[in-house]
Amino acid sequence: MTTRRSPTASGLPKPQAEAGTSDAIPGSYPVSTLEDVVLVEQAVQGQNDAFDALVRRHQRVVYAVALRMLGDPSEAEDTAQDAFVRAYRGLRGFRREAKFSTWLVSITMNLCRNRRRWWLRRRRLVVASLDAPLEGTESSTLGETIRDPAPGPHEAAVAQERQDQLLSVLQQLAGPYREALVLRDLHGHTYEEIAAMLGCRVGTVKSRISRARLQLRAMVDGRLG
Amino acid sequence: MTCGNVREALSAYVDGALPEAERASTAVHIEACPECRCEFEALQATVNRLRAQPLPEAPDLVAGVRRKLEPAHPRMMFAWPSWHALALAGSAAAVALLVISPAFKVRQRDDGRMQLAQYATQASQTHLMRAAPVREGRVAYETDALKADAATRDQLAKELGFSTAESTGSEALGTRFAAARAQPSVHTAVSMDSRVVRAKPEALTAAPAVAGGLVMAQAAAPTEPENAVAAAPKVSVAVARPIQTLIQLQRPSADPSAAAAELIGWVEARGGFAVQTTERHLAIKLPPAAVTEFATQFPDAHPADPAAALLSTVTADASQALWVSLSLELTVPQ
Repeated sequence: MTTRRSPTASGLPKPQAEAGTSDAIPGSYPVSTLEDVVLVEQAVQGQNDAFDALVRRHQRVVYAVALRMLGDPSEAEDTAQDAFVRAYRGLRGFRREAKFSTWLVSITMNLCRNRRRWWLRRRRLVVASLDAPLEGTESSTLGETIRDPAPGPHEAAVAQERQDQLLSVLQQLAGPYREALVLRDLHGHTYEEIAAMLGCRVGTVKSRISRARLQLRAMVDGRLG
Repeated sequence: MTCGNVREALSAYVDGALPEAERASTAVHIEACPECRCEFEALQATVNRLRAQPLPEAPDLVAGVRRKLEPAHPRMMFAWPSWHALALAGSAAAVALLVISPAFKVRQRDDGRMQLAQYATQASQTHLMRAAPVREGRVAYETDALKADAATRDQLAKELGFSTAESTGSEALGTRFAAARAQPSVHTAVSMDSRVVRAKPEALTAAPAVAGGLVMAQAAAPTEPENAVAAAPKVSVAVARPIQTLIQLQRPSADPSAAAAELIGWVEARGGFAVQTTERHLAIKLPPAAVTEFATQFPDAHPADPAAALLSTVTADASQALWVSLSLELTVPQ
């Protein structure tokens, strides 16, 4: 759905970002699909440089998905590498009508799901408290940090900290909700793409996104929900 | 539209994903209803904040990916999670003398598994040499070693019956390990063994090998060193008796994730390890005592009679094993 219709001229409340306008969302990384097709073709023919180029083009998104799903940078790096390894070995089976980036993300999602299950078994996840003071800050809590998007005096450090806190909150969402939320709101995929990636119906995606957003909001507001 | 309808539709409304008629009526309702409008604005703000999150910087993955694509690179060992499991169990990598059976022959259904098979081969060669001397003509398949403190070594030695003649179990184990390492001549024999087995899996028929993809092998007892040298106190190896090793099983499952979760939980509740190596494969290590229960709990894991017979053989012999390893494939139901 790419058409933007102004609801009415009278200024009724209007959603600000519509599904399908993924280029406007920072989580989506503008990559030319056409070049991907060429590079995939070359990689299938054995040109390793072409595959390296594919890795470089997509590593940021793949890593971001893994990081947001797993919450741990080193796990994310390892998983992202594994995703490319798996993609490399499956290149011949890659259906050309699909977008390479979408295919990569769905591989990454699968790997994250397995890996996270394994880590959960070992109870290695640390769940952050929304009310506990953040490390290195005097007063602010996780809830406040996420709620307040205004840039602080040390922007880079604050941005990093905010990202860390976002990751912590994401880790508290149930798996299916987190998957849907990460793909939709952090990576700008459409409902249809998400349904294809997760192997479920569009209606399921829609309701997971809705619930995930409500849960996230409740957590950030410091309420249970 | 009621407020309830609108609240349910808000998320899709924010995404512009509602059908035109519903979208219009939602917009009208939000305009008229302050509460729903407030909800909408809060939701929109949450979504906007999420969408404003910058993409995190990523490390360059090219080198790592290339490394992992090289066949049988040792790095695979760390990518295979069961090593983490073993590490957590106290087997530090430096002393973990785990020998993965060459019978851990994985179907080349996807490339990840092929890699595992290749690594297993390499591990067999390297670690067998370090693990234990083996009588010629027999095959050592799996050795469990533990990095153990004195108390654990004592316990281990007690379990293995090592401490009868010696003063303490620790010393006995250390002595045996040192003696094993002091016999370079066994190295050749061991690596030859592993080659033979790789080439001819049917050589395992000394143990009750069974049709239907099930292979079981028996590890040899180590030779008894005549002149045991002084203890190597920091390292202990425990291979005293014949042990049952790898059993390959298949279990049909329509939902491999759920089946895997169930199995992992079950195994870990009994002090074993289970790791999902691929979507439809689990590597499991069970304490011998749990094998019977496993067979009862998951009867469909060995649907064929030969497999059940095999499992009962293992059960009968299990008291002599440290671990019983299962390679369980969750097959697609027919």
